[in-house]
Amino acid sequence: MFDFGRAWNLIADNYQLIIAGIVDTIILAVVGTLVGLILGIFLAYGKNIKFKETDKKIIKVLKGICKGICSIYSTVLRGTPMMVQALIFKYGCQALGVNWGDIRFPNALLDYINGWFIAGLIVITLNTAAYMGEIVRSGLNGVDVGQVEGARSLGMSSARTSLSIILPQALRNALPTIGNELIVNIKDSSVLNVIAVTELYYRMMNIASTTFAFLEAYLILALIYLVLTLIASGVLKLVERKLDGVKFSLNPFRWARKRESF
Amino acid sequence: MDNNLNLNNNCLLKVENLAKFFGKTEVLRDISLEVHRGDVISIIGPSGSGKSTFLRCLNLLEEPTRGRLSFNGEPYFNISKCKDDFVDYESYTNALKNYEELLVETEDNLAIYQNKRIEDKSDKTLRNKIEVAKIEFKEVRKHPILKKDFFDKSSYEEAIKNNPSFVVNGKELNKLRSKVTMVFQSFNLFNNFNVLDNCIFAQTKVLHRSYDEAKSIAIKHLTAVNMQDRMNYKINELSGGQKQRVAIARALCMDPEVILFDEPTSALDPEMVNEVLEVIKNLASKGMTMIVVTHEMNFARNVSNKVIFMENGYIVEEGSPKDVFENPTKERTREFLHIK
Ligand SMILES: Nc1ncnc2c1ncn2[C@@H]1O[C@H](COP(=O)(O)OP(=O)(O)O)[C@@H](O)[C@H]1O
Ligand SMILES: [Mg+2]
Repeated sequence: MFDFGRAWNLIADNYQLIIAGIVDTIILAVVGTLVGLILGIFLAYGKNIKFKETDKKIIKVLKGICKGICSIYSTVLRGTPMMVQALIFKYGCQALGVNWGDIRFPNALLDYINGWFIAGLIVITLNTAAYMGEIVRSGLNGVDVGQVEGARSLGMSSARTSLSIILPQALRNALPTIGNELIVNIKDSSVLNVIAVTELYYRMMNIASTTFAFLEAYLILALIYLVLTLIASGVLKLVERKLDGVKFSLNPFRWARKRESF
Repeated sequence: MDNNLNLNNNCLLKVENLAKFFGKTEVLRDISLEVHRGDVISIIGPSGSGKSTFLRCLNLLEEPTRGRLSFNGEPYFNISKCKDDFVDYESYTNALKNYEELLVETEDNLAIYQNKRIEDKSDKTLRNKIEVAKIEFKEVRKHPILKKDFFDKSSYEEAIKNNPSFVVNGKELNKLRSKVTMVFQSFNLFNNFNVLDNCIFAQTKVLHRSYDEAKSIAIKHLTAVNMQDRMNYKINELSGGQKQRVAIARALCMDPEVILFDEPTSALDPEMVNEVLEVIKNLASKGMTMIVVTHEMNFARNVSNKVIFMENGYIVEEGSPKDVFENPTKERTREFLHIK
């Protein structure tokens, strides 16, 4: 049976470990999502490559290779569980002579950031990138072609159009889906325990097996995840409202000018 | 300087024998047109007649299949010969017929032998016959007509050598597009910018104006279209008429020499049509060179100095508004304009 006293003791005795786990999970989710988004943008452009009739043969071949790699990457990483990817990454690196467990950060501010944590960060980032690629791509394709024609007919180059007009709108439209990816990452980072990443679930599992308060530990764990995801979606709502409230939402031109005027 | 240009070369935009295919459908057929400085040309015609495609070819948003385009006497597009011109149609159709006959024949042969073999497996000679039929069938598929270069290659190459193809690209193309700019039916304002930035952005990126200079030019043109009170509005906070006026101001900011209007009032509620037409009229009176695709017959009649009636990719009739609207020479034009 659930016992409040036991639950309280569990928290009181282990709050430092729990907080460390929360910090680890937040770093994994936030960094994984943001860096994954950046990689995903490249992936989206890679998958969106169009062949032109006027292209030289070598250009066509290079484009084909690039497009193929991006497609295969996103198909494979979306089609396999992240837990399995983590294990393959761990043993794959070992086979190549890199043992993430051996890497230490003596001067690290947070002593619980270790080699495994970095490995976990890489895995979650690469995994997220595959999903982000799809999200950004559908965002890009969802922007009205009229926006491109409007820009081109003023003489803007296609790169400029893409970066300043299309991508910002695509990201703005995809923001809810991108935010959803953050929430998924908060929860799914738990599978990284298989490669000894000391995130929240891993810590709580250890606490549970030393205190034998299993039900209490996992209920508290569920509660923490719930609070984290609620906070995350609250923050995302705020960001969205902020962007819509500001007159120049996602306008890189404004940012550039702000920089200049400083 | 402008006057000098006028004297030397009155023709601002020259279109010669323009043709455009989408796949096999010919959307523009052999269109020629001279646009002079200060011209206001209205293009009328039923929908699907190629009016938009024509405008889009002029600033190369759509690449023409053939023809020659020049701006200020400088050609910026020239593809005079295309492979299709060198196919000798008689021999082509003959060869096609020949190929189709052979195909049917060899295919039939193969099918007959294969059926026989299914019925009678003991007949050893059939296997050989099937092999032969297969090879014959394969040979037919190598028929020259299936190859891409089924045309008179040497005269094609000769023609290309004498009159090299040229399509402006890169920076030159962008420059051209800022001089021959376009206003769309669906406005195409940048949704991620506010009104003012819509007018500033391309100025700083294409014409490399400083921000302050671009801003004062933008404010000047926004004021001219009476949008000075909404400069900080987002695009989705504007009405259709306001959007189109901003789009016109945005085009003007590039100091264009020609503005192409593609049905600028067709997406507007009736009460907003006039405010946009007023702006365009105003531009016309200031001597801006314009080509306007429109369904507003009164506008075409009263504002333009030349009217073109297009149908099926052809220019059916062209002339002064008076001639076209009151005295059209072609039966089809009378029908379209409901003139008895
Ligand atoms: N991108 C395209 N691909 C194929 N066909 C097209 C394309 N754009 C236009 N067309 C065809 O070209 C013809 C002329 O179209 P358009 O120039 O838009 O006519 P209009 O503006 O006079 O209504 C139409 O039959 C249309 O279906
Ligand atoms: Mg049209």
